[in-house]
Amino acid sequence: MQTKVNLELPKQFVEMCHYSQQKPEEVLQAIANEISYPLFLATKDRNKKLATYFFIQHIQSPDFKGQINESLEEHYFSQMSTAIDESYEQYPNDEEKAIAVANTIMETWAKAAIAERGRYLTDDL
Amino acid sequence: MTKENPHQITVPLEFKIACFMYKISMQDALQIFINYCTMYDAFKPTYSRLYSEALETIFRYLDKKRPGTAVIADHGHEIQGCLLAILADVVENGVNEGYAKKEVAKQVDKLMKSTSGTYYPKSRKLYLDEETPLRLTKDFCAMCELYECHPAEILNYYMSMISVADMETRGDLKMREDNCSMFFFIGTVFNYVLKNTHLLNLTDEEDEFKQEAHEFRLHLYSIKNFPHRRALLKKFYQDHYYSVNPNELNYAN
Repeated sequence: MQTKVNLELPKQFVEMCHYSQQKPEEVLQAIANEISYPLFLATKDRNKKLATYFFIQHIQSPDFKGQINESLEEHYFSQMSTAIDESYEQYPNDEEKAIAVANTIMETWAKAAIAERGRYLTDDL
Repeated sequence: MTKENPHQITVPLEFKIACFMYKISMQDALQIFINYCTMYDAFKPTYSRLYSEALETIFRYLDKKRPGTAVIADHGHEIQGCLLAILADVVENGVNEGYAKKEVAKQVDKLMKSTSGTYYPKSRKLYLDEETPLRLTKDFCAMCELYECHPAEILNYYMSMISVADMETRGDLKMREDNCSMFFFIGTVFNYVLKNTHLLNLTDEEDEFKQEAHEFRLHLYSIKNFPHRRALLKKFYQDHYYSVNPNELNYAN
């Protein structure tokens, strides 16, 4: 999905981009690429979990203003981990397959969460 | 496996881990608990922070041991009446606390003289191991007489209620916490650290573990089942405890 995001870039972040000769959007894109529950749950590489660790820490922080439907969360997390376990049983060491299976569940989860939140949001899409 | 001797202190692993993590010796942790169990606060009808939690721990134990029956044993009736009267005066008629405490102490002495000391060791000491004694206060012994139980029973119950993994999992899952013993433990550890501020300085290893534990709890985020999540965190802390104290592992096997 392509989208325009309006951000207030902090000075330090801009300086980090300057020094490393990157565009801010490249850095943010790299982080966004790795924020994923399916990746987080399926990968055995600790480094690939870092972005999602940050995400989880963020949604648990006192500053977090969003609302999470916890019963959906419980339901889909357990579905996802079962699916990942099964995938690894069938195709040992095939991380991509496990992630792909979990991704389809994540898709359903996101749709369910949006539907839950009421029509004023779905009308926008 | 031998059956647990109720008159002996048996330290559960979770309690060892809790003391280890908060850097308080088991001796200190138990001694503090004993010191907080006072007759004055047991019979005072108002809440006092930490004292009330210590007492509640004893009452919960008694309720578990003898569910449904009156907590106060027969020979306790007389003294119970006296104590309640003294403390009602403090709350209702503004009687001086110092005076009331002295009156309560007199009653405790009276009780200790009139009973045979069946429920506590004559030396008023209990041993954690050969070299580590716990001093049993007069109040604590009097309470054991009054409620007809051995001091070690109460301490064993208190220790069995302590689990860092349980507390943190409940916190992370935003569950209601109703563990007065754990509340007491954390509250007293907090005071203890304030008095021994050097404990706040972490070694490199401790600091590293703190970060590892933080990461592990984030890792558990997707698991919403309470017993499952608690078991994983418990295992994580146990593994760490054994890796730092390998002797304990040999002992456990």
